[in-house]
Amino acid sequence: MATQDALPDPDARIGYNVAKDKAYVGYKCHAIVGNTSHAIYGIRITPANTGDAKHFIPLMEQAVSRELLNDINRVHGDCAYHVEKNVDWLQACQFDCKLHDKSESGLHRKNIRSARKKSKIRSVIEALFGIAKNNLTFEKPLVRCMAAVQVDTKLVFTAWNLFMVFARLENRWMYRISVKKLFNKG
Amino acid sequence: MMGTCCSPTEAELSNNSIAGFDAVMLAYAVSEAKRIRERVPANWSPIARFFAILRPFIHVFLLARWDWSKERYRKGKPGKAPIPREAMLLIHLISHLGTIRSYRQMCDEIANHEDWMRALKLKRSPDHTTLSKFRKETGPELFDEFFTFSIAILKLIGGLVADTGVIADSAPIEACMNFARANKRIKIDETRVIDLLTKIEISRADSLYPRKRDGGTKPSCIIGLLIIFYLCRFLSRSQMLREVAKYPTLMHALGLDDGVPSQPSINYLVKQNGGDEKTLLKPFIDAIARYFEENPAMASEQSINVDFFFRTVGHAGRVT
Repeated sequence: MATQDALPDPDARIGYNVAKDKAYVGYKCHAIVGNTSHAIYGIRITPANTGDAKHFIPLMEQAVSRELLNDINRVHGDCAYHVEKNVDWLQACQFDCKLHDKSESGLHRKNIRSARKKSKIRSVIEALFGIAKNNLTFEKPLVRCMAAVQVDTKLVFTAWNLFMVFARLENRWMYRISVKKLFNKG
Repeated sequence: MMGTCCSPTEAELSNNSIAGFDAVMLAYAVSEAKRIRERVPANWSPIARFFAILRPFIHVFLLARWDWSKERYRKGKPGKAPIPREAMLLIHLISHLGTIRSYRQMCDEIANHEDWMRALKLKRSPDHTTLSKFRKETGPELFDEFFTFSIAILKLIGGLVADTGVIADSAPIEACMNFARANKRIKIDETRVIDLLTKIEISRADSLYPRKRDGGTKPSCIIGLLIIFYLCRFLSRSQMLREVAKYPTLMHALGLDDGVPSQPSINYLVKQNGGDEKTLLKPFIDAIARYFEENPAMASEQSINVDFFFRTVGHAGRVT
C-alpha cells in the first residue's frame, strides 16, 4: 500500500546551499536573532528556490511592526542581503546597517580583518542554527506542504524562545540555548 | 553568568502593551509562574516543571488570542469535553525536542510519564490525530501570534536587555520526502491494464457521458486514463499522460491512436459532467471491485494497488 512517506512535498523546491556546496529539496528559513541573548525575533519561510535579498524587508518589517526592534540599533547580515534596496530601507528606519558586502567574503587579501569580524558575528547565528538542528527538530520537519512546514518551524522557534523564558524563571539563564543541560535534572 | 529573574519595571508596564499583548496580563502570568514554581513537587522531571511553569503564560495567550466562539462543547450538553488548549500548545512545544521524532511518539511519551500528565492536567494522553486536527483548525496565524507572544514574554522578563543588534541569516529546511520513491519511474503492466479495461466495459462511458460536440477525445478514453491514474498511483496527471504515451498497445486499446489528450481535455470532460471526477468513476467501481475479487493475485502486487484506489484520504487519488 502507498504510504504517506512515498508522496513528495508539492510545495518543496530545489535550492542550493552555498556553504555546504550542495543542492537540496525543500524550503528556506530566514531568521533574525539577537546578538547577545540568541532570542529569535522573527522568522519567514520561503521556497528554497527564491533569493535571500527580497525577503529581508518583509522579515524586518514583521518584527518592526510588532515593536520588537525598538531597542535595537544595528542589523548584521551576510552579503546575500546586501542590496541597495535593503540598505536604503535600513537607513530609512534608522538602523545602523552592518550587512556585509561582497568585498568582505574573506577571499580578498585587503579585507582580512573585516572577514574575521564577519565570522565572529556570523558564528552566533550559525551556531544557533546548528544547535536548533541538533537539539530541536529544525531543518527536518515531519510534515509536508508550505503551510504545515511554516507552523512546524514557528513552533520550533517558539519553543526555543520559551525555553529561554523557562531558563530565566528557573535561574538557569546560562543554559538557555542548551536544551540538554536545561532539561537535565539537578 | 547566572541571570536572575526580573520583575517587569514600572516603565515597561506603563506602555500597556508589549508586541501587541497587554503588559498587565503578561505581568500577571510572570507572577503566577513564579508562584507555581515554588509549589511544583520536587520529584517532577524538568519537562513536567516546564509544563507547570509555562502554563500561566499559555493561559494568558489564549485569553488574548483564542477564538472561544469556535468551541463546540457546551457544559451540560451532550459531548465530550475537549483537551485543554493550554495542554495542546504545551504538547506541541515539547514535540519539537530533538529526542521526540514524531507526534505519535509524543503521545506515547505523555502516556508513559505520569508527572507530565499531572502537569498538563490530563487524564489520558491525546491521540496524534487530535494534535493534527488542532493544528489544522487553529491555522498558521495563531502560531504566528504565539511566536510573537514568546518574544514579548522574553522582553518583559528582561531576557533581551543585552541585545544591541540583530543578525539576519537563512538556513535550509529539507522537505520530508522519500526521494527514492519520488524519483522512481512508475511502469504500467500493459496486458493487465488492457484486460481490466476490457472487463469493466470502459466503452460504457461513451453513452454515460456523451460529448456535446462531435470530435475530440472519446469520453471512454478519458475515463480509462483516469482509472489508470488512480490504479497505477501516478503522482500527477501529466506524469500519467507522459507514461501512457510510451505504451503504443495501450494507446491503441484506449482508442488514442492520434496521441494522448492534453490535461485541459480531461478537465473539460470532468467539468462538463459535474466537475467531480469521483462521481464520473462511480459507475465503474463495482466492476473494478469484481475484477479484483476474481483476480486476487493482482491486487497484492505492487504494480496495481486496489487499497490505494479505494482509499478515502491520501494524495490526489481520492475516491470514495
